[in-house]
Amino acid sequence: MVFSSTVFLFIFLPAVTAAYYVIGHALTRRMTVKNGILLAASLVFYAWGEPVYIVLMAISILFNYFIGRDIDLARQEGNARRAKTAFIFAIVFNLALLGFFKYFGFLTENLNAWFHLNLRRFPLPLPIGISFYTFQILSYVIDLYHDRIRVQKDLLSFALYVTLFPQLIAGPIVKYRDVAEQLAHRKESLYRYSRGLTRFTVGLAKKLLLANTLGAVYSTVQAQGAAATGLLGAWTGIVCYTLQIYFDFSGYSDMAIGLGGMFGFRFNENFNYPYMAQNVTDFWRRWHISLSTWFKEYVYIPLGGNRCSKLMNVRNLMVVWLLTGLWHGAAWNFILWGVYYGVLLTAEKYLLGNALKKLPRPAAHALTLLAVAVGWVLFSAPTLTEAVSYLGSMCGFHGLLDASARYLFTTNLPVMLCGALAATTLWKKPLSRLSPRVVSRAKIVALPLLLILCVIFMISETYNPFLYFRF
Amino acid sequence: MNEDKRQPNETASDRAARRRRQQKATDRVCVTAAALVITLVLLLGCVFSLTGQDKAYSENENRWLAGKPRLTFSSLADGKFMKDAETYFSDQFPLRDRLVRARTYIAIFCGQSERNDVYIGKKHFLFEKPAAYEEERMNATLGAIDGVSRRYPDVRSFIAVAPNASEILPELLPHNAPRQDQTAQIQKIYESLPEITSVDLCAAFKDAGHRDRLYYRTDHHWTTAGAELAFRKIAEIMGLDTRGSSYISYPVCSDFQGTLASSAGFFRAQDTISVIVPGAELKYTVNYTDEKITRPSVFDLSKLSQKNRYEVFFGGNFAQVRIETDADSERELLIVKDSYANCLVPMLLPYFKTVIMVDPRYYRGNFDQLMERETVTDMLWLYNANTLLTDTSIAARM
Repeated sequence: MVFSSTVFLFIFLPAVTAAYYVIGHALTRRMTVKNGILLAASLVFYAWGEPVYIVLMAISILFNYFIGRDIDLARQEGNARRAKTAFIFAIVFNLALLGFFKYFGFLTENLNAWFHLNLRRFPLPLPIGISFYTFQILSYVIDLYHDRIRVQKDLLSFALYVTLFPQLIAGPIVKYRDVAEQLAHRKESLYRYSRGLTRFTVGLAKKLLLANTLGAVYSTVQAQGAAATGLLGAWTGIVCYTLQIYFDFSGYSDMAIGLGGMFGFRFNENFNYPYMAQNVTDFWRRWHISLSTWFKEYVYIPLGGNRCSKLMNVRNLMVVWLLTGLWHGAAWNFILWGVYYGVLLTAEKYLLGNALKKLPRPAAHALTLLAVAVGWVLFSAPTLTEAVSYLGSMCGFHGLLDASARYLFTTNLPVMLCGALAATTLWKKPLSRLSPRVVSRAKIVALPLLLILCVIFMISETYNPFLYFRF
Repeated sequence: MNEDKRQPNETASDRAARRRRQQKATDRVCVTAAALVITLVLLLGCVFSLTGQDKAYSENENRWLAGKPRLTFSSLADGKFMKDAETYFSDQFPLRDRLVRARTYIAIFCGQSERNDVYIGKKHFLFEKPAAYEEERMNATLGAIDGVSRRYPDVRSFIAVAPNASEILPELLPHNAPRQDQTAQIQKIYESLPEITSVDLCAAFKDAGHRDRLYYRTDHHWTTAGAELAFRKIAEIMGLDTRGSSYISYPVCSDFQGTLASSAGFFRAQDTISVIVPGAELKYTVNYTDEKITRPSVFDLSKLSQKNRYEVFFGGNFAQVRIETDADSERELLIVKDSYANCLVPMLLPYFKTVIMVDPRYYRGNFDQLMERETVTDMLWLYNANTLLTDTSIAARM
């Protein structure tokens, strides 16, 4: 199920909220019941899109629950070897599942092409959210082995941690230790519910009003092909994509954090105005924070981090960014995108850092945005040649104006400006001139209005006039 | 500084802290109120979605809406139930048509000027996005047309491709809207068919006095005035003697909102549909071959009370329609056409003893057998540019 659908908004969410607060909160007042309701809801939510993979998820949950108990038991008995064996087995098992479902097709395709082999391919659809929940599970197993958390003995709580629907399909990646306490004890309140629901509404608006509208512009540009796109069209396209991907992803994070809040959970922030960053390092401190901290904690630091020779540090950086690229998808352009950031971050750290610091702030900001936009070209292009060709369009190699560039630019400029304001902290400036009281009161009208706008956008996307039938 | 009289001992920082606390409390109340209103909206949506009366058909979308999904084990296992439920709830959502209209106004407010591939132009004029000339597809279509004319060299062949509104009324298009040079596209089509006599409609349309009356504002068809202009041009090339014929048009409805209005969700304008009655003394019968129906009129006035009122002409598109007249003529005309012809054909009737209309998009018969059966003397390919440029049925059927 996706958040931006009628079934989720008008059936699922009211039903789950009602069940949670009426049965769980008012009638029984027991955390087990509340967790049970959320688990059942999460399973329905997951099965809605991919009923078959619920089995895979169940296997994953049971396996990790029991291996967690085993690691804990082995350590209590002082059997370090068995704990280690179980730990390694758990890591291999989880990565193998992820690898098989996410990367096997890509791997065989490339092996077949390079070595003229004829390996069998399994054209399986990617289980939704597998990258997210595998990383969540790994955070549990790794922290457990390193004795940073206590084992979870309650299967219900563990299953809920893995499947919790707010962050199940698009993050943020919640580390077990951040919610371990909340699974057993959390406080719901009317204000927390309200803050959560309003946060959810803002996220929904980011997705439906901004991301989808901007995405349509980029699709138009992409559809005409890079070779037929002039300078203005290419920049219009990539600016729209840059904004789209931010609103899409941060909108999902807002919705997840908001939904969590409605049920008393507190998740860490995942975005912090990344397009305000002054350099690429800063950008990655603000973009998809839960993923970059995950990689930092579970890959970069175990590899030695920066407490080693320069050469090893560069290796560590490159490994982390190669994996980050690969995590985003099984395709060469994601790998290239990861390597691109590996190189940029290494360069910033060892070569250009001081030079960049001397730049005036607006110049540094602009340079960062340029680097990020070029990154999105690599990220979004269907093929590598198309990406190179698109960069050529951005340099004006395919002319300045194509037939539709002026039209696309002028008709979408207001939306792009709205997006640019909302993606940066600029929107706060005019509001800071008003009295805070007025701003607070305006929320009573503005936030419900935002929801109604979302409904208008959501419903009209399903409007499919079918005209070519005996017209 | 403005001292607070009631608490004289309070320092400036205390006061600021107290204000912050007050402001925070106000904000909590407001956020809670906003959330309660949102909850109410969601609950109302929920109640109305579950209890509302289902609509079977959407006139604006010209399609059947989804009904309640059927819950079976297999539909649950393969996810069909879930997909059907999503479609069902969005198809039957309360106030759906109004929300779609609101979406169009929001788009216009934000400076956009198209919805669902329809340009929303000036003076509430709506335009179909013009189609591009795709070499491969057009080669197939033109090859098929050329093949027909070569197979029947004794039949006089004519082709008339009507430009669309975007070509004739560029000044009403949205600012900067990308368009195609249809005059050049049509010229290219004509040049690829040297065996067929072509009728240049672009020049006649561009020179017309009231260009904005040649097309409906809310529909992708030409008006009866547009069709009449085309008819005069076609008659001239085909050598029909139209002297002494009178063409009086009668308005039959003035609240027509056509396919483009529906597509765009933009219903600000209404159009008038007029009909031109073929020669007063002319007697004829209209035979719908596949349907085995004979009607006494080329007009189906019952369609005027339906959504798509352009269907008043012949009742819409049919695979094959055969019209027998008592005209004083030995000529028999075969028209291969799209819906633009429906409005024009009535004017051609007084000059032929038989007129046969074939619409390749629906025609499933054998075209060559038809030609053998009939004694066709004239053949006219009558299309609008957008349909011909995107058509695949001529290549498949002819």
